[in-house]
Amino acid sequence: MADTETLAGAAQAEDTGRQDFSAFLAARRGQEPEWLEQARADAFARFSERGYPTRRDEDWKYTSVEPLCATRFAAAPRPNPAALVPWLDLRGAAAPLRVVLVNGRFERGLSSLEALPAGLVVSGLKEALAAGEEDARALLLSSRPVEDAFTVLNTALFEDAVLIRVAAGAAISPPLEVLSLATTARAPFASRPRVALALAEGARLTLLDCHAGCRDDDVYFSNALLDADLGQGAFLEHVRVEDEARSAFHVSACRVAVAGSATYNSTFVTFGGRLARNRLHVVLAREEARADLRGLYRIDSDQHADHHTTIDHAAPKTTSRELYKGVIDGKAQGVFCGRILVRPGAQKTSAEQSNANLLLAREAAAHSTPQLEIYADDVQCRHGSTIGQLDEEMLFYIRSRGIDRAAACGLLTYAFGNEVIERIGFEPLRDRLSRRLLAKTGASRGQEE
Amino acid sequence: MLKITNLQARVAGGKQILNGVNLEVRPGEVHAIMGPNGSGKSTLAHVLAGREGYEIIGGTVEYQGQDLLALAPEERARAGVFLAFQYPVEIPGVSNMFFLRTALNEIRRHRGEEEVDAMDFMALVKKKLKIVDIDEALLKRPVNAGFSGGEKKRNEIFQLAVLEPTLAILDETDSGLDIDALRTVAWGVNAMRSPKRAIVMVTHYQRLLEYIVPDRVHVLAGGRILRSGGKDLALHLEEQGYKWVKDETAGVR
Amino acid sequence: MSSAREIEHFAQAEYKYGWTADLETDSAPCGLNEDTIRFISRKKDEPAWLLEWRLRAFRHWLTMKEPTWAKVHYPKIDYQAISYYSAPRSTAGKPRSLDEVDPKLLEEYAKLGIPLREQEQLTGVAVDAVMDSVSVATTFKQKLSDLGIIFCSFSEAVREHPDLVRKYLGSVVPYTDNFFATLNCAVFSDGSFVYVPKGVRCPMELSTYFRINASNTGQFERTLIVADAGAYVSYLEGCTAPMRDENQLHAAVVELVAHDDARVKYSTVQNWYPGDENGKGGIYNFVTKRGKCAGVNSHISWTQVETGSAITWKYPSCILLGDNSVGEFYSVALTNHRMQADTGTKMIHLGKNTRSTIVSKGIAAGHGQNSYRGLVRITKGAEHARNYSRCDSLLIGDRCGAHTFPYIENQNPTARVEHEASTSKIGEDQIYYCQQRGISAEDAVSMIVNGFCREVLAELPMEFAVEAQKLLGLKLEGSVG
Repeated sequence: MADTETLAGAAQAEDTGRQDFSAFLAARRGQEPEWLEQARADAFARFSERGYPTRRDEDWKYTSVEPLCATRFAAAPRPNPAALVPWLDLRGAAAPLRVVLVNGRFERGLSSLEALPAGLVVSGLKEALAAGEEDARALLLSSRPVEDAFTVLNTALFEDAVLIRVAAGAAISPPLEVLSLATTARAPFASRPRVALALAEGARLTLLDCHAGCRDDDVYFSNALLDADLGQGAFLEHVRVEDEARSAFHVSACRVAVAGSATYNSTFVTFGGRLARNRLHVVLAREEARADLRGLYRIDSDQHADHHTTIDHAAPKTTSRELYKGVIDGKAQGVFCGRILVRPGAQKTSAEQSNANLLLAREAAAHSTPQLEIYADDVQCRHGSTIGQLDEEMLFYIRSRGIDRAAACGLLTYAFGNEVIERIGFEPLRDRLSRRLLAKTGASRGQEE
Repeated sequence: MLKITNLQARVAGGKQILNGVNLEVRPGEVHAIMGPNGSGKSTLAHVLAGREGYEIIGGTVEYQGQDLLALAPEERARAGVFLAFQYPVEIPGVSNMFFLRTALNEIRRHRGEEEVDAMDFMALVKKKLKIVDIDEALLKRPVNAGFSGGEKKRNEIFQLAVLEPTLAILDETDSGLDIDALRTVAWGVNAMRSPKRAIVMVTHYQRLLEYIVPDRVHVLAGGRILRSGGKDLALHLEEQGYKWVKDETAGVR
Repeated sequence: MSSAREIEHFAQAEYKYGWTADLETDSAPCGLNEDTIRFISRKKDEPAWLLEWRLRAFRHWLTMKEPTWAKVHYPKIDYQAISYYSAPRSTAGKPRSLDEVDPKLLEEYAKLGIPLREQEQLTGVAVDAVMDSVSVATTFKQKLSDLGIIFCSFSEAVREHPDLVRKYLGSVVPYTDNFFATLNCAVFSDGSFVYVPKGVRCPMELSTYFRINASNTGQFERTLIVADAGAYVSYLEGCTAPMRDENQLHAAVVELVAHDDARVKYSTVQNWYPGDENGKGGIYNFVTKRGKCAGVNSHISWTQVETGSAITWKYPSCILLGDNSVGEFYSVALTNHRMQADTGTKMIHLGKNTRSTIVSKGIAAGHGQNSYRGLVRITKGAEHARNYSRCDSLLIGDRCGAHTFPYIENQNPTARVEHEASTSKIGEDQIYYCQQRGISAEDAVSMIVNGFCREVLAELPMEFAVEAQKLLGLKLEGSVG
């Protein structure tokens, strides 16, 4: 039985994992406050208790982490930063304000943070601890509603973190890019990029959250975690681009708490990785909180992309909109699971969710589970999901104007995906992603409008 | 230019709709094909444009000396066959401009002409816009998405003007238009009349023919052309309605 | 506002069919082991292969765990405290006609509004009435048998048509299928069997009224319906149950088989005792219903109106094996007070050009919890398969819950799957508007609820649709305009 083998493998991995963890803790002892060491130990204990998820777990029904569990990941290498400079603009968003994490470690030298606007503070883990332990602790380790094997593993083993604060009323412009770059190494390695973000009352920020590798055959495991707190009336535009190496594993969680009258907008674009699993958990904690989530996964060959989103309407008069689209080619598999929870008392909630998938090849597959869980009556909730091919009516119309079938397909596929990308406000990134999408759909001929 | 001989077609795996259509169209001519609902008018238009879902059971269609039925829809379009759809299709996310320029360049390439760049295309478009009185803003929007019924029809004629086909087939272009919109559309079509171009209009009503005067009128019923004549035939139809057609069809059976 | 209070008031309308029959029963002692199963099998004079099948199921059941994934909560069931067999004494004499049936029994059916004789004559419905677990009366048998249609109790089918039963029993729901179905395989008491031969269209709606009566009696019916090539049959299942304090377990299994060009329509109105408004008592309804569209162009349609039971756990499903086969699921589920429903369907597309439609209407009132859970699976070979699903919820009051859990799995790019769901409530403004037009609040609620369910009710045979509308009304308000 495959299951028994996995279990045996996992048990073995766990033993080595425990040794690795002890070594990891020992190496950091004295450099970190005790409370952090304790938090790591607790997290590792929780991980050991539950282990990696299997497909028997409802949340992992369509995504197997067996290949991930079967790979032995070494500690992340420390490449010479200077050698990485050419990669930054190539793989990042090329924003003027940039934070760079290399294999999960903050590299101030590679970052562009000289001209930070007033009200924006960006620091690495060491700097943050030096500046004020209590603040750092509150930002990094406040309790979060979602915890799974991967988030606890990140807490146990993260080597560095980026802490971002936006002061009350500060409207930050231009966008802030956080580029998590994974480098080429001899052996598979694991990195654990971690970002904690706090927007005080009325603060505004656009975050370009880019995850990229260098070469497509690099094998690594990026276990990314982002926690964000939006204060009263705050506004966060979160653009997340996952463009990891084609052979990489990418598992992420974004946990966002939205206070009253605050707005969280996100656009998740997933191109890369052999296995990508992105979890987005948004709590609309107070009245008039709002979230607008968009996502695009454009995958082919043997890629597997899984998006799990939860929008927790925990207060009355909260609003959410959600649109996730999948374009699935080759033998790829797309998974979408979107849960909308309306808690008791969360009256006047409005929630709309939609998931649409295009299957472009015989072996492509899509799984969609949009879910509504509603405990209040004065609400307006709806969701929809479609899986299908390109519309034959549209194809015929385009062909009747002299455009051949392949180009017509490319055009429609591009248009389908671009609906998500076109919302990105930062033009250089939007254009780059748009071009990327075009290149993938083969409809690039002459498209510059 | 177009010679349809004994054309018989049916819905794939279903009912036979065309029962032997014969029609010849020469360059410069405007033909009107009239007939009651369900007579096969739209089917004929779609079979000529190459829509999937129809099976040709018999007959031939010769267009400029080649077998039209053997060509893919885009090949027909590049060869100069244009269908103005009765129900133009909405294509969200694809801008009108981009769509049309791609189509134009495909056709030009086929003709061995150079592609038009964005600048020249804009100039061309501005010129053609006047023909159908379309708001330039519509061009930046996705193809037909959110257009009103009249806007969609005008957009079809605008495309016709830009693509300059050799054979234009207008499928119920008048349906759903108020009188002002009908005039505009008719004006656009008339502006496109030329000695080298043939136009085939498919319509249920005579009123379109008041604005676009045809050279020949054909009455299609029961999947074949029952009667052909000059523009007076249309007036005759207007007075008599389609009842005599039905009677005659019944008599034929 | 008075209308808000009135909604509340209707939501507390009481169960109207609460009464207890006073009949002697012949029950097996409580407890579940191989001896119990041998006892049941011996009582029913079953052939050895069937006993063997039951025992295999029982042994497998011992290895299984009760499922926990559904969104329902209930105290742990003690499977040893349940009596697995009971039969009304009066059947010992085997009545040959209605005249021989215990008059008390007939009287009770009359209370439910289903006088057997009248129905026999007036409505053209053949009724195979099940009192507790044993079939006690069958009608119209002659007419049906003239056409070659077999419609009888399951026990009779085992005796008279063992080859058919052996061929199809467990062919859609195998004895290893799930915890409750497997339990049923081991201990099923009786049920109905229908076989419609090739090319025969069953001229009347076949109907069985199930009853749960004896105290502490588990109900384990089994229904098997086979429509041979080109056959058509419409089967109605209707249920009401007497008021009881003890929770009663009901774990039925229904298997449908449709061969080439055959069509099976299966309709249910379920109104078992849901427990009182504090959640005390009520039936646990854990049912496995599945149809196999085995042949090309076959068609299976499930329609259900679920208004009763403390817990409903039920997913009437279709396996669309034959090319061009069609599966349909139309459902209304109403939960009030402390009722919990986790219901939906599975459409498994295997054949080419297979089509399925799902329309689910959930109504939650009081503290009721109503979940739709459905699976649409398009497998690799299901070229050009189509599914359309629509799941709507109506919430009445702010302490109930309505949930939608669709699972959509598509492995074929030529297939098209669409799912939509929405949630709405009965608004005070709607009620007020109706009242202002002279319609009572009570009628307004009924109108809105029935309007909400229209698509599903339209799928029911006429006489059933009326009963279903009546039930929906009773559950929410006491009378329907």
